Amino acid sequence: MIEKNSISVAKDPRSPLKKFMGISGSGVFIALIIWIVLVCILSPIVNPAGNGFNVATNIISVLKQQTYIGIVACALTLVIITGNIDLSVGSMLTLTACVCASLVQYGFAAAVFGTILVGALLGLVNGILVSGLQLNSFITTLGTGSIYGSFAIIYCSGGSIVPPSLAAFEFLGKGSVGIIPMPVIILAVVVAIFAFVLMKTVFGQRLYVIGANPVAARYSGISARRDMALTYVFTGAAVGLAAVIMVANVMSAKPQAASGKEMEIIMAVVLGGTSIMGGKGTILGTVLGFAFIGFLANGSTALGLNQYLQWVIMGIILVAALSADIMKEKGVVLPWKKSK
Amino acid sequence: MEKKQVTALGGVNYRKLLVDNNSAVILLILLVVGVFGIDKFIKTFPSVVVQASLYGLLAVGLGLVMITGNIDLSVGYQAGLAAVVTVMVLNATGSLAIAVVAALAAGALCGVLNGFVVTQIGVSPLIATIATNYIFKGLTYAKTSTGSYSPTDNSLKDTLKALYDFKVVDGSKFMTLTVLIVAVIFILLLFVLRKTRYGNSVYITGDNVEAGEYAGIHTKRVAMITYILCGILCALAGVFMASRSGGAQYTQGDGMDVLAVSICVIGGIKMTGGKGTMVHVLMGLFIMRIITNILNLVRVEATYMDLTSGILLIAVLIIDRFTSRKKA
Repeated sequence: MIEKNSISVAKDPRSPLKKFMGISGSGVFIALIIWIVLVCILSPIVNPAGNGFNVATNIISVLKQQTYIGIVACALTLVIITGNIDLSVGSMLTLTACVCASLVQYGFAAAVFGTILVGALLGLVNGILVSGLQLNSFITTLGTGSIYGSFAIIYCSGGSIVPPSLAAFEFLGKGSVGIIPMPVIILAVVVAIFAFVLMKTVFGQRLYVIGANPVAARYSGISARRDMALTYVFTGAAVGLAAVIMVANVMSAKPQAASGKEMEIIMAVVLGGTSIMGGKGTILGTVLGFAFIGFLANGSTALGLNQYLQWVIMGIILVAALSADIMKEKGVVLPWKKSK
Repeated sequence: MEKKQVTALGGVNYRKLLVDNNSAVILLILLVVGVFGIDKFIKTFPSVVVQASLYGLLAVGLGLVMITGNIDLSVGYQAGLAAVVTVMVLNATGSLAIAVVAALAAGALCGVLNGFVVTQIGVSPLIATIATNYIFKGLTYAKTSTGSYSPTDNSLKDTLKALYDFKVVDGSKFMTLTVLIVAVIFILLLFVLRKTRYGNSVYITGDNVEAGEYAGIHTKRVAMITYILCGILCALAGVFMASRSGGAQYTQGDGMDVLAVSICVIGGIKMTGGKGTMVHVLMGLFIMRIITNILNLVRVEATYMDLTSGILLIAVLIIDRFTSRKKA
């Protein structure tokens, strides 16, 4: 057994295809390509009057639609890599959006940096509860999610907040440089930052160790608690940034703005090959994950499927993708094949 | 839990007893506050019981799943889907009995799907049930997108409504058929978990899968069955929900997953599995319903319900955290 391993380290005997499949996120990449090809072929048939499915313009519109999900998903990847979860991101996004809308009147800097700061503080609360007090992250963030959600409703007193117009602020959501919309540029910057943090910094490497083996992390002198708290603060700050773009785009905020979005965000991260058990995951995978969810909705619309059918299809594809991932990894034998 | 914890000195460790039953203490405080501090609390209590029966079914089902160490975040839309199936079959056949059976079968199917993906394939239960939730949600919305989906015939609608309104004991406010059914199911599950082989294996599965396997327990099958039972119980809740409002509504399943998880955790079911009984679920259920009722009676907005449940969730976690550290 040991010999076999040492050989495989020296020279990978697997075929290139198998090697590619071994990379986390490769499954969702293939699924993404298949889905886009399928939509390209089917959309002229379903809707002969239309111009078909233009991949280039749709990539940009999908990325623009997915901006807030993408920004938060990148930060949440760090949290999930350490083996925790944050279910409060949806409510946090709503609350920070409401705060942002009311801060616009104090100027650009207040609206942008104030919101990010508020987000970071909300994240810090999660971080203190989860890593400081070492509470179960699932239930803790479920609880803080309820609390943040109610704060948002109380803050907006039931209605919606419409900020005064502010050109510089609105540019963040509605403007574009050349053909690329501003939100997509911000998303690209955020993706680059988080990819750099995760791959090239010691902090990023520590997160993998904490997620893969908390005990080993402690013995090798890693301050897991501080790092875990930091991932929550980063997530909060990212949520704040996402809220800024969201408000700048629609110029209003209401208490239902992003309810339930946490599920979509978690799905994006997990689809990209990040293990919910921690210790494994990449930003590239997360990018593919939220792109896939975006294209799923976008392509379904092109095919003329209604929202409800989209959910059903999305659910089925998610279950299939997750199952395929697990079966690939563990070599699961299905019960009806066991007898052989 | 029943045995009194005895310290080395031979006295009863009251502190530990108190901490182990923190949900009972919270419930007691709420009852005292309600009975002595709030007007009309006793008068409105029967309605609390009737309301609790609906949420109780979801929470009991989820509780079973949680004892095995898994989770089900799709309970709300399993109920929603069952409500849609009830109305659909009622429209097609005109028979309430067939409709109920079909709804329960649909719930069982949902449970099979969840159970298969989680136990046989091994997808993380949290992620798997978020994914299946999209399927159930989509199917529910497909029929209820216009707001509600009611039986086409008015007499059928009356038949459906009669199920929820039916009183077992004439003149009694809370002995409705739903409460009776829920009570019977509750006692049955209490017995199954405590006294039967299967109940034992549920706890072992949650406590230590490996030990369970060595002891010859099919832990995967045990966990699978809890998902199926959960699906059936959710479906029953869905039938009652449809019956209460005379049709299926798209809002019915919304937010129920969080509510059910809150009920179980506040009651004392642990996320890690292997701990908690149906009594805990019942306590969690009444804590949540009584808080809602008290807030209603003092005319506080519904928003504060979410706020209180969030705070309560974290409070319960913190109490658990500091008491379990003492044990170690």
